[in-house]
Amino acid sequence: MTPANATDLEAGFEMLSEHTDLEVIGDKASISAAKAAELWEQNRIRLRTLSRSNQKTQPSPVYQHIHHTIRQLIETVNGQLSDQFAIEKNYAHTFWGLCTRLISKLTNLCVVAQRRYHTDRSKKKPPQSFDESLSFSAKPQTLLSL
Amino acid sequence: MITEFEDFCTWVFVVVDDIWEQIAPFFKRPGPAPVCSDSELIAMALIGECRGWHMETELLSCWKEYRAMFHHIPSQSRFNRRRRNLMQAFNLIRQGILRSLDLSMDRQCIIESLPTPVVQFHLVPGSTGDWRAFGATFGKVVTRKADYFWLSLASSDHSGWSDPRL
Repeated sequence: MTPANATDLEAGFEMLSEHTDLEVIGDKASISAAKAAELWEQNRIRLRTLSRSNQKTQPSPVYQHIHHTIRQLIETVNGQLSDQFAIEKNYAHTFWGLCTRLISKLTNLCVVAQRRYHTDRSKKKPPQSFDESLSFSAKPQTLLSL
Repeated sequence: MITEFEDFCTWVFVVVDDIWEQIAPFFKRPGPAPVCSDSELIAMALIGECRGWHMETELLSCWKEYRAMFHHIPSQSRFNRRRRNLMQAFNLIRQGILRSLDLSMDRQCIIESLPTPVVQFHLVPGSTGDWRAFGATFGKVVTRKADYFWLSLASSDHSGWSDPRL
């Protein structure tokens, strides 16, 4: 939890400073060359963002497409938290009460994800060919090469 | 395959209880053991939220219809107090579940923030909560097109890129 007046960049930077060796996809609120360089030097964290529309250097359309596709994952998670678990409805009277409710909802999300993960995994067919297995992992590899 | 609510309850309780056995020593307290055990209480809270019983009074009244699964339903005030005391247990269970997913080992993640309204705008002047001490402020969330008195929940998703259903 961060105060409301802290920017996304500050909150994200503080959170990422506790980790190392990550590749992070951020939104346009996370654009900062200085912070990205600092994260890379100190924590080996590669922060990838899209450029703003008025910036001179623009990434390729392929990169933008993959970025949007990956970003959609966390939008889905946020959507589940908002719609299914009503994270935006607060019935708590104190900060710690709110924290309890939030942690409980996040735990719930993990429980549901675990259930879905094991169910879908048992249903998922293994790749039938080498090409198919390549296409399955195409997104991360493509992004890394960009 | 889980198709019935009762089966889902059993499954969640088993998941919670398995992890609870490992972390229970951290949550020892004096006095006799409660009739409704801690793992039962955690499972009740988790299942209730999955069902959409977001208010504790609603949750407890709904659980009274399923006494076959949870025999003892605590009172609302006791449920709330024990739930708050078990906040760290919820977090440890969450971490335990995440650890069991191999996707959590991925080195890729996505960061995002989610504004969390804490008090309705018109109720702020009379609010007795300690929100301001933790940095809640008035603000306009552009994406929601609304004024909030809010905190921000910073989150990162380690669930892997290759499976969008997670």
